Amino acid sequence: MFSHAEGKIELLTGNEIVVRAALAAGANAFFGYPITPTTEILQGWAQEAKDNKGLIYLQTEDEPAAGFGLLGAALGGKKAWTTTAGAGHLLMQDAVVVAEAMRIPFVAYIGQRGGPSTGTVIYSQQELSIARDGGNGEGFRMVLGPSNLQELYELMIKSFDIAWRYRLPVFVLGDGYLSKMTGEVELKKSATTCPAKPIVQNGKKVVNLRNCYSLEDEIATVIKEELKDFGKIAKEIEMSEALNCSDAEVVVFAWGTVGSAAREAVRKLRKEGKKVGLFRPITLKPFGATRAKQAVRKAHSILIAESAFGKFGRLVTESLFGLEGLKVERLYKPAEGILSEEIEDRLRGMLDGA
Amino acid sequence: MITRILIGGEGGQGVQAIAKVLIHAAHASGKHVAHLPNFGVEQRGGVSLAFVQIGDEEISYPKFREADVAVLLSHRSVERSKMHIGTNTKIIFDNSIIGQKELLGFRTEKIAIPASHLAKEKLIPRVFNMIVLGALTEEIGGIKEKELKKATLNYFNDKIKKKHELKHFNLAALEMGEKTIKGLRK
Repeated sequence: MFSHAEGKIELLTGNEIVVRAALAAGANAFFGYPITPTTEILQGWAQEAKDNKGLIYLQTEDEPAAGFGLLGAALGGKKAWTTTAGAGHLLMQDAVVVAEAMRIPFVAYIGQRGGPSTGTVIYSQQELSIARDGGNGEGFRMVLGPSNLQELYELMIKSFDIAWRYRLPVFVLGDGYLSKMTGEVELKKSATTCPAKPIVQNGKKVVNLRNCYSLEDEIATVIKEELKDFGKIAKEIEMSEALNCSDAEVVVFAWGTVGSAAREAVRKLRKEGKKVGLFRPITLKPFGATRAKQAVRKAHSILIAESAFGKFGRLVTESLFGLEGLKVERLYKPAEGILSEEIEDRLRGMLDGA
Repeated sequence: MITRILIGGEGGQGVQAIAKVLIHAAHASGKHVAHLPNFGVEQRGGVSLAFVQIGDEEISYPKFREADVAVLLSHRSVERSKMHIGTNTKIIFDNSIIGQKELLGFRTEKIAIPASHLAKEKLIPRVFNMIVLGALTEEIGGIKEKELKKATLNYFNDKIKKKHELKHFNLAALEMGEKTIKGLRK
């Protein structure tokens, strides 16, 4: 068993941190199917469950089974979660849309790897679109994008609170770098998150949850109500980092670990007096369009940096639509890491070119 | 200041072990640290790279363009590390594995440590990586000897429990690496 010491700095891998965060958040059931780069999460939880009979661990036959196992446990009142990556993430989506339809809490940590298909086991930011909208519905889910290990710990804990408080699927969208890297993290002894209770049957009360409708106007009414509710929740959840944007002439847009590389580049250039800023959405769903617009008030150009070909870029340009005269440059490196030096070089070029 | 270290070798040589012991020793010595293994699908037989950063300020992005120190331990790792070696990169290499000729393309300071040879002749072959670690920590400085020993024994704890003499061999290897570097300076 791990001992949780308040405020203690420990050296851990991202995957280890994910397990610690789930425990701190009061998670007590895990269903999963191993896939690199998140397999150590299953191993870590299995190890915990061996020593603690209060924890459920089940390695299922595939990702859909893991997703539906999670839903069953959540309906029964367990704080259940899972982890997957790449093709497994895609397979898991079927269970996630059921969670959306029936408003069942669902938490998954995703360690993005290179695609398409088996691709690489290493790293990418290519799973943003399926995390945000990967189903045959309206994408009623939240997506959180941690940029470093401390944020990974905190957002993982938060994901359990959001999922159970609002009864929604929540993805913490990490990547292979974040999963496999080792660094410092300050762990909490415990965290207060919304408690789990049985959803379909609690005492004598039985609840019937639907995901099947006979009439189109019937489902349309439900979707409209959900949209309204989702909009309200989104306002409460939305998070972003705007660094040095108030007077920035060039603003970098980046998320996840690329956000960390961009932050380093911006800090370095600021020390030289260059007017650059960073806008980094922490919630990729909901995406803070209003804050994004505010971040570029003084900017003549933006740079979009992502380890995919425009999945994030399209979100950014859509959210900034209508701003005239703003030049957009792109640093797209699908399935490949982006160094802070590369972002710095591009920013220098953009400042000189203005 | 942040010291950026790239360690390259073959899978199975203990490249990631060097990195892991190093960051734990540095962390215990009061430094900020980060380590990213470069991993492929293969469990062994591939080139293994470790990106390590040690510094006085927080480190959040795990990769870097140019290493301050590059540790090269196999032929293939030279090619794979090339893009991270600049004119200010100090190269530490095992000259019982890599020939001087292989490094002619790099116009930068090079330190030769015959770690593999020393391990085979004076200790046991498997502690070769700890000779490298002893040399590396002596070269970068700032890491407490006590913490380095502690981190080493901690990392190999399970193995040492089964085979007690490994404690001696690992500690002796660290010392041998450190002495070799010091000897080169004289």
